[in-house]
Amino acid sequence: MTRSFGESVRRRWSRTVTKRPFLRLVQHFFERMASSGGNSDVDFGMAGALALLAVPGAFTAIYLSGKYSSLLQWLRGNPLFDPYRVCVPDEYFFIVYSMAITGLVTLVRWDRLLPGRQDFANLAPLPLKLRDIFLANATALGGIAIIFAIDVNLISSILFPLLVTLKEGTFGAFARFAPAHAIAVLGISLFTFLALLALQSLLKSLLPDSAYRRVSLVVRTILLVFFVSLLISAFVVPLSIFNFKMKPGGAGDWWPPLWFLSLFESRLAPLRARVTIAPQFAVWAVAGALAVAIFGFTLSYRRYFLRIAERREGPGNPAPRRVFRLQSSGRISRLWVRPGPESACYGFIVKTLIRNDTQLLLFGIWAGLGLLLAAEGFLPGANGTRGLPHDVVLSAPLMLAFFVLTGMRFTFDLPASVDANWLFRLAANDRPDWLPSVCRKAMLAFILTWFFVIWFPFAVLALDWTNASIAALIDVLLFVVAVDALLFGFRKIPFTCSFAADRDRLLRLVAGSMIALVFLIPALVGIEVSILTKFWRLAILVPVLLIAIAALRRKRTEPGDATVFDDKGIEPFALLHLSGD
Amino acid sequence: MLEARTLSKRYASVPAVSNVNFSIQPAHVLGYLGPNGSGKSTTVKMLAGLLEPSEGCVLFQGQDIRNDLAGYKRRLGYVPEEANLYPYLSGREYLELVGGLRGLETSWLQKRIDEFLRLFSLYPSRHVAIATYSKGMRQRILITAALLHNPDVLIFDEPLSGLDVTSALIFRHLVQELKQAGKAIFYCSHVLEVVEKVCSHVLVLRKGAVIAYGSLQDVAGMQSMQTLEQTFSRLVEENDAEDVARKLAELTLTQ
Repeated sequence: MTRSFGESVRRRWSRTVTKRPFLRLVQHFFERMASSGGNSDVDFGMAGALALLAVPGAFTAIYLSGKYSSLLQWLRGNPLFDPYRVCVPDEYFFIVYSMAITGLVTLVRWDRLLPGRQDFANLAPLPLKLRDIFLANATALGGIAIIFAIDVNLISSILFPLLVTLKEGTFGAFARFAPAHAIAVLGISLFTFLALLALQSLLKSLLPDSAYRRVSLVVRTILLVFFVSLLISAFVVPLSIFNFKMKPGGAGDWWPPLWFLSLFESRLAPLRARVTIAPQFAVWAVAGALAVAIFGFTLSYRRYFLRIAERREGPGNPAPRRVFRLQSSGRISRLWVRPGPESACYGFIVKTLIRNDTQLLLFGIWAGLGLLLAAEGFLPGANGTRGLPHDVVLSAPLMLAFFVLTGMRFTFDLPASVDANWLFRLAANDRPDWLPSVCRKAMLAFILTWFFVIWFPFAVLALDWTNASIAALIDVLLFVVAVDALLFGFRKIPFTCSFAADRDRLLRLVAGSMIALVFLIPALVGIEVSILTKFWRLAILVPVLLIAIAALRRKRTEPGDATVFDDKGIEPFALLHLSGD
Repeated sequence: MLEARTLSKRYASVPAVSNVNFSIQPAHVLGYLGPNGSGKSTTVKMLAGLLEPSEGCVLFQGQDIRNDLAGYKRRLGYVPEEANLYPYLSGREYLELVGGLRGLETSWLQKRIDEFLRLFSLYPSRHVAIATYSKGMRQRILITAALLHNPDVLIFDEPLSGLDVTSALIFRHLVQELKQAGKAIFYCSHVLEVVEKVCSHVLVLRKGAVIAYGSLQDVAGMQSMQTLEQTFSRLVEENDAEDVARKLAELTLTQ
């Protein structure tokens, strides 16, 4: 019965689509945005992705059930518990969560928002009007934005209002609260999507192709760092928002989640609103984003899409790419690396990392997070009552170096283009002796440059010459230990080996990062502070670090280890050799 | 049937194609030749209705194609130079998309796609994502997409790119069959041997201008040469190929 119904719906849709190619086009753009692109190992499909994205909001709403239970509040001795007063930070969480997830998913699909060369190549020769192609894309975008906003917020929009209005126990209370919540979370979701669409379409229409690629990558990286930070902060900040004193004209006026929180409060109980920003801000923001998105979208149609065939930078006619190159950097690197294969491979590593989109994007996000965390200590009032600048000055390079090094090590595993690795297969011996040193030098180059050019002069000013020099010595030794530890067992030429994503590797990365962030870096800062107070302790630390470096280097590769070009990941099964052969 | 009249295209102020004239009648195959950068791709794009000419026009059955571009494209089959397909679709899905957007009737389209896929030896891979297809397989998908709707005019831009020997042979015979069936075919290629075998007429382009145009026999015999390759070399090559090859070999052998 169900099968025949599904079949008949499919047939009817197929007939409709045959009569109306515009609908087929909309369907195509919808599928294009939903798919992983055919190059990813991980593809949950549209239904899977929607289900995954709906889960966190639903879980949070369920998690909050204890907080809003009248019985539990009574048992806790809090019979006068006012859920409307308590719900504001939680509402803020849902708003920020909605914004962050929408932003992240939109950025993941950044390159597919607007029709591009591939669409032009495949669709323009067909008997379709170019305007229809663009309008179909716009329709699909609008549909996806709405479906997505509803999906992320649907369960929480039912459960959360239910929890908050449970004490009143009337449908009227639910009917008042639920729309206020839904409007706020859907509103910010739409606002975020439209704002990003507007930004991308304006960039695409105003910049030439070659500049667009670079600028878009930088903008995307910065925004990804922002939304990841926002997502992380969503779990922490709501606790403190309770203590905020919201004043009109303050910094909160520029923070979109507060506009929508204000809208929520205005619809719910305008008289006791905690956020005093005008609720109209949210409405103006959505309307403004929509207007700019429509303008940018139309502009990109006229200035980009219609001119694709004319663009000389097309695949058959590439424009010369301007390559960022410092003449002096070549001379410095000649002092740093040995000529021959080591020098060639060093250049390849550095250029791939700063020019190849995938590596640059992932490395940029990771390093950006590090920069954010390192800079966080310098914010006014971030040090609390302790107010020790030494801690901040000493922890900043360790924090940033940790993210830069782990980011580099992670991207080393990702191939820039596996098809091109035949070059290294031909050129590299089974176990090139220059491989460990070239990887180490590349990683250290990305640390030591900013460390000595930016951090050290700053440390001299903040501490003094002696303390800064001792801290620099310790840091450099720590960097070398970290690099050797990260390269332990690494038998690949960076970016040349196929990548087999496996759960264990991901778990190791996440667990290692968490441990390092929570325990290792504070412990190392503590050690540095203690050495700066009593210099003789340095005589213990330095030999320990040198022994660690020597031990790591001696054990790094086993005899007979060959360079790896094909990552097999974890074998699905293994022979047990029970016979003992 | 298809005619280019004083066709010109300038990028900014740089001329890419200047004053190109030719016509292709039914059951004719026009070979379009020229070295890299001579303006072949620009002409192809203008003929396919993807690029607006700076001057002149493309006429289809005596009418400017701009008057009814969608109608012209309905009767056009186009194989572009680059197989820039959607990698996440399977071969079959891609052809269904193209057929669907051309408004072809679904059940008829399905049968036709299956038959094409079988004949092009793509049937076993029909449900596999195009991302995993070889260059030759992608090219066969493109050719199928161009033929699905039985077009009157065919534009092939380097159609043999990536095809294996068998497929290339099949394609050559296919062009002959289509010619006999009365299709007007525009064939842009670097492979002179194939052009010599399949084309009835040849046009040679150099720096955006036509330097030779006529029947294959006329053009091949233009410079008192016996083959098209010799004529082409004489017409368009600025450097002596043998001399350049000798210098390259000397450089290679230098320690």
